[in-house]
Amino acid sequence: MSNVIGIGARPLRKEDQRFLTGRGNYVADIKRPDMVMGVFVRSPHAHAGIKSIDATTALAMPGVLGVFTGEDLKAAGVGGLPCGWGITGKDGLPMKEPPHPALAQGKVRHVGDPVAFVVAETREQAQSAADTLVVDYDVLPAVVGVLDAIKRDAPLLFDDVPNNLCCDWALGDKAATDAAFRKAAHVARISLVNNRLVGNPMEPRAAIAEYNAATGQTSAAASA
Amino acid sequence: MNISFVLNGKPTSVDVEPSMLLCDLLREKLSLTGTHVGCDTSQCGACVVHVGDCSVKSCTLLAVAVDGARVTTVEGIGKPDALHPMQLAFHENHGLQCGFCTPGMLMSSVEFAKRHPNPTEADVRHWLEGNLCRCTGYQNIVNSVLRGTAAMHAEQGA
Repeated sequence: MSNVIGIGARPLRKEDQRFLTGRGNYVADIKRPDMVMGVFVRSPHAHAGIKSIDATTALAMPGVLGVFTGEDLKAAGVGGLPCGWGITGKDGLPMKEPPHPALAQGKVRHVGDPVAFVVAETREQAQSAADTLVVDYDVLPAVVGVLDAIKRDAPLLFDDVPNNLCCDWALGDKAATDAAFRKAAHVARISLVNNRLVGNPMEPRAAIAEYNAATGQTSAAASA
Repeated sequence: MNISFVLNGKPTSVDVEPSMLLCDLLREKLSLTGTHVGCDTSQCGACVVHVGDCSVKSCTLLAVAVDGARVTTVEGIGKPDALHPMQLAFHENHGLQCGFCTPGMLMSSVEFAKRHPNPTEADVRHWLEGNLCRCTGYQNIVNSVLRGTAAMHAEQGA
């Protein structure tokens, strides 16, 4: 070990021991009295209307406590997931930001879009019940890839977002850039397509919440 | 079904559903939550344990399959005050950050070290292709495994 102190030092982490010996406390490791488990039912289709969700069989299965859908969230007034960073397009208008409910409402828009949440006393019971849920889909044409999505006749994901275009964005001094290009000895052109980026930590997304009726407080733990 | 096996050196007998996975037996029934489930599809390697001397993905093995076997989890190779040489090497070489992949990395690496007394960096990278990490970056993990392997063999030779 180096004897450098402060900046440039190579300190050993103090939190390692619990992680090295299997004594970390991740969300899935937490157990609470009377804890119940929830499982998502997700769309197998990239684009489809939800005609109906039949939970009759699931609700009659052992241990099942509830089956919740997007319509239940809507009825309960639960909001959606807003985008954390809005931008303004070249036309001076804010980007299109359609609703993003936690459970799909009316339509699924990607494979894996959550359509229902099944709650039961154990994870196995919730999973078994989730497998019996009958979701009747009206499968719609899908596009994959941003360039196909903005073609004139591409199927629309949101009826009120023409051309599937969130926004056309530009940054910088266009006049100065154009002038620089005009004076350039050589001009090269290149099209760049950014791949989709997803923050994807090893610990799966998980959350546990506990409501204390005596104090009216809810405590929650979630993976980042 | 009743199964008996040796878990981290301790004879263990337990009733399990025939459909129960080894990772769920360890985590849910036996409260050994050091074995993690990151993907459930045998890709991430966070659930690796030893059955006998082999590292296996416990999310892909039925619990009943270990009847009569020796099973070792990350809790069984070292303690916070007495780390296994591989655990110590991960600590000293910054081989972990969030720690979620670490139990699987360690269990895979311990078997690797036993099989490879003088490994190259390429040997380590090839062996660990079934273990994913999303935060440390693999360089420090590879460094840790090389140091840990050397330490394990030095300890045996001493």
